[in-house]
Amino acid sequence: MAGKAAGKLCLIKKNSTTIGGGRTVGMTVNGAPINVEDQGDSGLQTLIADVITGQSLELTIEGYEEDQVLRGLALGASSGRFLSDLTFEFPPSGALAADEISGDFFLSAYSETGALEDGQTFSATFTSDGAWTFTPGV
Amino acid sequence: MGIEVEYQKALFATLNAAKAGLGVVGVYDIAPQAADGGDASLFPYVVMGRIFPVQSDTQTKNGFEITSRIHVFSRTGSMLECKTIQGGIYDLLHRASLPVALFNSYLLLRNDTDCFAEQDSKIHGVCEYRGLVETA
Repeated sequence: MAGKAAGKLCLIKKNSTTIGGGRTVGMTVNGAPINVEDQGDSGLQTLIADVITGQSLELTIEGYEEDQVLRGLALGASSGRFLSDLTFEFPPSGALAADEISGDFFLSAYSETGALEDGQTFSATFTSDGAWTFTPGV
Repeated sequence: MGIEVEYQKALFATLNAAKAGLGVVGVYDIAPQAADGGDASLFPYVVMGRIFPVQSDTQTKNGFEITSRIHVFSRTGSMLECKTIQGGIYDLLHRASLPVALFNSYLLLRNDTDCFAEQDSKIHGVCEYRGLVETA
């Protein structure tokens, strides 16, 4: 039976290892339909059925910097920002295993902030490259 | 041991090692009771037992934001001694690296300081320090 889930169990893993220091992890599905509205549509948006352009998946993580893995990728060779070993795990819901997303991703943004009265924080965004695979937990 | 004990041990070790330089007779978590209201032999002393950890985890490590309250008690008839000791503790702890066993202590800052008169001619100084630690 499905149910609520703890957000702390939502994980981004690289090569099966959880990226260190995360406190907030998120995912966003993007895409736009094609609007073919014309004078006969009375000012109402009309979309081509079943067609979506610019589909992409965006993964975000922010928290306290711990292991320098993402720093190394962001500041290293360009090729290192193209990742084929990234997975996004939703928290297990009830008795179901975790849903999972895998695919190729690009580290599109990475930032760190050092505040005087806080630990070093980081934020990273990954955007999908091509199709991704969504595997529902059973 | 948990963070409460390890953090207190680290604070005690640091303050107690600097006892002579700070000019205090003792460092305690619970101060011994003076023989009577006129007995000044225990003074000045430091009490540092009030430690308040708030959970501050990440997905991969347990962490704590810790507020520790350090009291200074003096009985000289003025605030000078108490404030001087508070300044010495500030020099010792503010922005210092506190060696907490089993934990990585990566930030220690003084938040605030106060000094006021109490009954029995006591001068009471209170400083709060904020520390960030994570499991090593």
